[in-house]
Amino acid sequence: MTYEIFAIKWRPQLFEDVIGQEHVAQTLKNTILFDRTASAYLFSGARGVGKTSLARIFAKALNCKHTQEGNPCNKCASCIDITNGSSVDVQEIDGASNRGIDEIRNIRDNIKYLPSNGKYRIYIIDEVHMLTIHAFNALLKTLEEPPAHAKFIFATTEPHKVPVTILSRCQRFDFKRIPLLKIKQQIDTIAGEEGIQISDHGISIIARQAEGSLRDAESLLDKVVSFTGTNVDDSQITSILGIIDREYINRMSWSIIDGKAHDCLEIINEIYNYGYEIKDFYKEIMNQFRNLIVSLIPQAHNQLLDLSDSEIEDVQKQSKKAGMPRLLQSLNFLINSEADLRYTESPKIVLEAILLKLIEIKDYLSFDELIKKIENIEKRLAQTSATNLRKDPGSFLAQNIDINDGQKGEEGSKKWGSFVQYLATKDRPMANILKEFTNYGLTKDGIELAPTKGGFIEGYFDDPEHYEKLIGFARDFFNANFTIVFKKQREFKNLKKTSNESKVPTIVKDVIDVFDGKIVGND
Amino acid sequence: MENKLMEMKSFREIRGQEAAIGFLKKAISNDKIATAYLFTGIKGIGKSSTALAFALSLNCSNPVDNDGCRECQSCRRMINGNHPDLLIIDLREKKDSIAIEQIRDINREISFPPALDGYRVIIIKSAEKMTVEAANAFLKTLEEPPSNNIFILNAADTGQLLPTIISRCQKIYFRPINEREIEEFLINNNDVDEARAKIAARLSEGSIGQAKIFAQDDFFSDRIDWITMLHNVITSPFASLFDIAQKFINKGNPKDNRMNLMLRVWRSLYRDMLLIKYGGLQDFIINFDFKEQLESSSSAFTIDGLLQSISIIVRAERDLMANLNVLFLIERSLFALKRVVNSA
Repeated sequence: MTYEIFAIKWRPQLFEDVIGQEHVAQTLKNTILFDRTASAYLFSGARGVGKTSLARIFAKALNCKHTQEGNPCNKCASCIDITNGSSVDVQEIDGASNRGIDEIRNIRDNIKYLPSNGKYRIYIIDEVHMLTIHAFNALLKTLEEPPAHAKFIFATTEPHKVPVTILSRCQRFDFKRIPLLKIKQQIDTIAGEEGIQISDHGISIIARQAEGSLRDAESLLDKVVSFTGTNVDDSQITSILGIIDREYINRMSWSIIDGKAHDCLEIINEIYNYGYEIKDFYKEIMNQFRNLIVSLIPQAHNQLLDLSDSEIEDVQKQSKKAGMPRLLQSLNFLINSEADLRYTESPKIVLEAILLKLIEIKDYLSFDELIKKIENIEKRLAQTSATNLRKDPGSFLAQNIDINDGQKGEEGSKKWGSFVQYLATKDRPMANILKEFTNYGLTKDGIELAPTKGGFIEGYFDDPEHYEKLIGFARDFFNANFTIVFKKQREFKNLKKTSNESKVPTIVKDVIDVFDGKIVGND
Repeated sequence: MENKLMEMKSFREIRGQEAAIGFLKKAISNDKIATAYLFTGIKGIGKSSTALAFALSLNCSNPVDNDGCRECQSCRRMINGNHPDLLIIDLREKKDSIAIEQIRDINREISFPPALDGYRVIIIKSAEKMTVEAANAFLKTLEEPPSNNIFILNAADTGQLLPTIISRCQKIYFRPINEREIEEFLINNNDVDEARAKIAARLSEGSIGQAKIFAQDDFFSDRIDWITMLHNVITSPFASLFDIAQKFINKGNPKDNRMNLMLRVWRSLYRDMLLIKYGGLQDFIINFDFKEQLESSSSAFTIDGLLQSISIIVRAERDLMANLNVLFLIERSLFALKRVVNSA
C-alpha cells in the first residue's frame, strides 16, 4: 500500500485551513454566507499554493446543506462524495487532458440538466490554460449566461494563457506565494501531528527550499521522513534534499573575487562529483552576487536572503573588496551567460568557461573610470584646439609683423594687404569691398582709408554694424587699440594734391588705380 | 533500436549510486514510498537501471536487503519482460518528444487497479522530452494517482520540465561517477588499455554510458581525425575551410551523432588549452596524450580567444539540437573559430 503523502493527507478541508490565502478564503466564505455567488471563478497563482484545494472547499460549501458559518460540514453525503471525487454534481475536469472542443461541447450539452441532489452543478476545470482556443471559444456563451444552477471554477498557474474574453466573464482571484513564516508554522504543525522529531533549523531549511509553495514544502518533508524515519537529523536534511552547502558558494565567490582560477576549477569538480546540479549551483552563484550587491546598499541588509550574522560579515568583506561596479558587471555577465548553460549537454565545461571568464572581468574599467578617461581626453582636446586657434595663420602673421611708427609706403601697404588676405578667410565680401579702399598710411595704431569709388561702397562702413565687424578683425590682427579712420574721397584728393609733390597726370593715376600698380621709374 | 529492452539489474549490481539507492531502500524499509519520483542526473549514470531495480524490489515476494531476489515469480516475469504491472514510456521510434497520447494511455491504464497484488510501476524515460501538452495532461494524474501506482520520471535536464511537474515529485539526485571508478570499469569490463580508459573517463564527465562510447576503437580513430581537423582549421587559410567542412560531411551521415561527439572533443581541446594558459592546472587536462601539441597551439590564443571559441562551440551544439542544416552550421563554426585565431 502506498502511504498517503502529506500534501494529500493534509489537504485543507475548511476555508480556515488554507494557509496564506486568507484574502481569497474570506471572500469566498462571505459569498456563501450572504448568498452572493458568481457563476464563474478563476483561481490563478503559482504551484502548490492552494488553488485546487480552495476550489474543492468552495464547491463543497456551495452544495452542502448544513454549512457552518460558510464552511462545509464535511459530513453530509454531498461533502463526502466530493471529497472522494464521486459526486455527480461536482465534476473535476483535467483541462490539460480534456482540452478539445468536443469535451467542452459535452459540458455545454449536459449543463442544462438540473443537479441531482445538491443545489448546483459545479464544473472545476483545473489547468484551464491548456484548453485549445476553439474550446475556450465554445465556452464563451455558456460562461456568459449559464443556467442558475451551474457554477464554473477554473484553476491555472498561467492566467496569461487564458483569453481575455474568458477572464472578463470570471471573478478572478490571484493566489499569493505563501510567506516563509507560514510555511514553517504549517510544517511544524504537520510534524507535531505526525509525531516527527525535527528541529526548528531543519524546518527552516525545508521551508526556504519550497520557495513559497506549501506542496513543495510538504513533499520535501515527505522525502526527508521517508529516509530518516520519524527522527530527523539536521545534517541529513541538506544531503537528502541535495541542497548545496553554503560553504561552497562562499568559497566560490571568494575565488572569483580573488581571481584564483585553480580554486575555482577545484570547487566545480567537487560540486560536480557530489552530484549537485550544475544549473542549481549556477543559480546559487547568481544569488550570491545579488547578495553581495545588496550588502553594499546601506539600509538594505534585511533584504539579504536570510543569512546568519557571520555570513553577512563574510559577504560584506567580499563585496567591499570587489566594489559595486565590478559586482554589477559580474551579475550582468552571469545573467547573460545563463542561456549558454541551459542548452548544453555537458554543463561542467561550460560552467568552467563562464566562471573563468568571470575571473577575467577583474581587469575591467568601471563606468566611473571610463567617464574620467573620456573627460581627460576631452580636456586634452580642448587644450590642443586652443593652441591651434592661436596658431591661426592670420594671427600668426600678425605676430611677425613689426609695425613701426609712421610706417608708410610699400611696407605699409604690404602689411595691409596681408590683413585683407586674412579678412578674406573670415568674411570674403567685406574683404572684397575693402579692396576698393585706398590705404593712406598705416601706423602702429591705425590706418586711414578712403574709398576709390562712390555709391554703395562709399557708405558701406558708415553702417556701424559693418564698421564694428571690421574693427574687430583688425584689432585681432594688429593690436587691441587699432583704429580705422575713413576719409571722404574728396578730402583725400585735396590732401593728396597738396601733399603729393609729384605731378602725375590723372590718366596715369587712373591706370595705377585700375591695375593696382605703381610708378617704378621717373623721367 | 538497439537494446530496447534493457537488462534488468538489481540494486547491488549498480555502481556509483550508493546515495540514491540507499535512499530508495530506506523508503522501502520505512514504508514511505512516494507516488512519484524524479530521477535526475546526466545521461548514462544508471537512472534507468535504478528505476528498473526499484520496480524489481518493490514487487519481489522475498526481498533480500530490500533488493529483488530474482527468483520469485514476480522477479522472473520482470526479468523476462512480461510483467503486466511494469510500464515503460520512452520516445517513440524516430520521434524526439513524448506525445500527449502516450500520457493519455497511462491515464487510462491507471484507472484500473494493478493486475497483480503489488505495485504498478510506470517509468517515464527522458521525461524532459514530454511536450507541453503531454506534461500538462500528466499533472492531475501525478498529483493524486489511485493507490499502488508509482511513477518514476527520468530526466537529464530538469530545466526543461514544467515546475508544476517537478513540484509533484520527490527529486532523487544521481551523481556523476568517479573518474577512477569509470577507469576501472572500462579496464575490467571493456578490455581497454589504461591510457585510453583514462581519456575516455575524463571526457565522459562522469557518465559510464558515455565513457563506453568514448572507449571504442571507432571513437578513438575519429578523435584523432577531429584533432587533426581542428589543427588544420587553426593553421590553414580561410579558403580551405569549405573543403574541410565538406570532407567532414561526406564521411558519413551528417544526421548521426558524429557532429555532436566532434564538438565535444573540440570543446575539451579548447578547455585544455585554457587550463594550460592559466598554468598550474595540469591535473585537470583531459586530452593529456596531446599535451605537447596543445601547449604549442595554445600560444596562438589569448585567454579571451579561447573562451570565445568555447562559446562558439556551445552555440553550435545548441543549434545542432535545433536541427539546423549541418553543413552551414559546421562552416559557420569553422569560420568563427578561425577568426578568433586571426584576431589574436
